[in-house]
Amino acid sequence: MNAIMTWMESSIVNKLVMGPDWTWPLLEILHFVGLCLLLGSLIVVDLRVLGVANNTPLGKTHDFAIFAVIGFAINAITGVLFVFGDPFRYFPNPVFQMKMALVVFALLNAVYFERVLLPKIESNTGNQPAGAAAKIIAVFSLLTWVVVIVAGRLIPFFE
Amino acid sequence: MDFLIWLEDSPIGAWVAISPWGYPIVLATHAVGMAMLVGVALMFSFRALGVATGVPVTSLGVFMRLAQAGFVLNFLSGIALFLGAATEMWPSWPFRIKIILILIGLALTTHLARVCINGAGNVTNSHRTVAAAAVLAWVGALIAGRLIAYI
Repeated sequence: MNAIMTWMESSIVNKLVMGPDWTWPLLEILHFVGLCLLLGSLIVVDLRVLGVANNTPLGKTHDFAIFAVIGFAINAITGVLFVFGDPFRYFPNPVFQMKMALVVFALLNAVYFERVLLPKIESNTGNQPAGAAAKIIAVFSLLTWVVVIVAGRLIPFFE
Repeated sequence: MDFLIWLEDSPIGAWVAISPWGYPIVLATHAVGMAMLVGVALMFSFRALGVATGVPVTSLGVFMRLAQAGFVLNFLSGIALFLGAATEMWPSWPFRIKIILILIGLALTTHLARVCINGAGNVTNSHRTVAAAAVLAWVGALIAGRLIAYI
């Protein structure tokens, strides 16, 4: 672990992130845009699974999920850059560790929904209510991402 | 200036500025509220701009409640954050610009919701212009908000 952190801190990526004064605030802005896209998208997609806006086919509201993917991609990239910029601050931080564990859980949760449950839902006419499993996944999704956002904001207070 | 100091000395101002948990709690709430308000407002604008056209605009009204809930969270947590650092916030230009952009974003998104969701449900070119302007206002507010810590 120490070797990885030392390697990150001596890498060219570290120089890019920590060099110019404007890179850190720019990455933060992008990270915030990404989290808005992610949660905004999932509020529509997951609440529809939970039965909100039932008159719209679930497969259609699911079109908004692309913004969750875009938001996650932005935040994965900017997040990795933050860690390269200050590895010795992030890795030992308990709230950062918890945040990463929750992100992994939320991703597995989303992949399970997309790969296993969504094809079944889409194979019926689309207006039927989603099953109990899909609803549990949707609740997990919204709760986990909200806690991820809270954890991210709390990282500096647990150093 | 005396008034700003008086605000900082108010019970809420002191709780945010001095107590160990006040500031983190309010800051985390502000981030969740932002994601709800800006996130849903962006989805609504994207729909008006031509994304997910299979979703009737009129069905998005119920999701706008979540945006409203996000606004309430951020109005309250924002007031608390302001009280905790009134003497720094009031003269801050990024803060002032942020507040103006939020008012513009609220006006544009509310207008769009009124004409699209509560109207006939069809999206015209003028609606798309409002939707694009709303995206710019919200992203601008977010940029200005982040820069408060730097400028």
